[in-house]
Amino acid sequence: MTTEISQDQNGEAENPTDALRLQLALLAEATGAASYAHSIPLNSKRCYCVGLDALIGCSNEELPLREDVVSWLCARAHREDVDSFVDGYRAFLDGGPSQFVGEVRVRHHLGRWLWVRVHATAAARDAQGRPTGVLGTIIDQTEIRALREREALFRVEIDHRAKNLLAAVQSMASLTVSVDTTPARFVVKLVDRIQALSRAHEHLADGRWLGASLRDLLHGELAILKPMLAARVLVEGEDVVLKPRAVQTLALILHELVVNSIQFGALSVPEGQVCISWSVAGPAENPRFCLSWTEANGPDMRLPTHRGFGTLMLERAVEHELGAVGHLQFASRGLHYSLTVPLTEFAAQGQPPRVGERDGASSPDLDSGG
Amino acid sequence: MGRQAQILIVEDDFLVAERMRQVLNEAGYAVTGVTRRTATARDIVERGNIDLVIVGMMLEVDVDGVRTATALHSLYGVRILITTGFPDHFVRQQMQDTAACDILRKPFSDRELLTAVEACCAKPAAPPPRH
Repeated sequence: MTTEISQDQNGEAENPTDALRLQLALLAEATGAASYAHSIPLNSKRCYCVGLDALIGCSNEELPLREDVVSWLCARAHREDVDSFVDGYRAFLDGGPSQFVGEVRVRHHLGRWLWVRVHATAAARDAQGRPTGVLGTIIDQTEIRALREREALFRVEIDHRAKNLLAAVQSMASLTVSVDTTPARFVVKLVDRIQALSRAHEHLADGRWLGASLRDLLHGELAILKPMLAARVLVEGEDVVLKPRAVQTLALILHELVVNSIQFGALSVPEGQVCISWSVAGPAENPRFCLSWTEANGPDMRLPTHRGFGTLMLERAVEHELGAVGHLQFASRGLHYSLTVPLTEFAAQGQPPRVGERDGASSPDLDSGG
Repeated sequence: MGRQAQILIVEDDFLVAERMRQVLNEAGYAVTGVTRRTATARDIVERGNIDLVIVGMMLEVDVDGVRTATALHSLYGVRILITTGFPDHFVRQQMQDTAACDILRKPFSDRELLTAVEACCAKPAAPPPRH
């Protein structure tokens, strides 16, 4: 924009010309900002602003036609912001910085606070370098500041989640240590558990952190089985959407059951089978979700002498995380595990979020029985 | 503190809570409870003899950890150690009574946990409850 506040013979700024008025009006229309021009010292005939009524929601009669626009704003500004804002503007008028940029909260006509950013530049200066004419814009920053605040909170939240996840993995490593585990075996166990945790997060991300399908979760955990082994796993139950909290816990306990079965249980012998089934039971006002893992034709299971990570997850973690009861039975011919949990703690409402075209309900790997 | 310190853990994440329980037990502390529910925590503290409550800052299940910690401190005068993944300044912003609690940043080592717990337990007993 060309500066059209010219100076008269005494060095004072003349009225804004019609061309300037037009330019200010066009600027306000194009940007949604208010724009203003005035001479210094103030002269009622030399103040001009446009768009401020739309910005502040005031009437034409209230507009600052006889005073400095910034002073007018300051009279409506939040007391917490106004001092530093005025100091900056005063320094600009005293010939300090060549431009002024400041933000201040101003009361909207309807009562809410608006954050406005004021840009001002000297259109003309006296011999001492002080502005004798000022051009400026006033821009509503409320939404931008709210976005910035949300972004800052989002960054803190991401950092917080990352730290919590690291703390969980660190704890997982610590709890994986046992006296009878070699360093090499420790690494394998820990990496497998971290991968199970990672798969749980993938399911949650696919479901936009609203939940995940139980069958998708099972599909992921059983995917580590070779096809011959997977064919010996029977899955029975209508799909449910798990709550986000249940996803991580269930992924880890299913992982422990699968790995245990491959190493020591039914899937460690040629004729062994596993049935994973679930249903909803109990009164309508307090329904319970019951999941069972039943091994058959497997080796005799002995009560372990050491209660390790798997047992911790299957019995204590489910109670802590879901208010569930996890019951382990080391029976002859195979292990039996049952999980009983209030449905409200476990299942979310609605349809299971699907991952692409994958549909666990029709998966031949999961549904083919013994 | 002449006797074995009694500690309550209020933590959302089982893995983190269980690791703390094991580390503290091995170090000679008595972990008298592990929960993620504020109401349960209040019941346990109300029964008395709790020297320190370790509170995770974010508790999904009911209210956030800062409110839980503040309530436990003001009601029962119990020492509080907050564990959090948030930066210190953010935690302090959320806390009404910043002097009430110490902060331990996640993830923390066993040594950092034990040092923080030892420092908390060495503090003089909190003022009597207001109620």
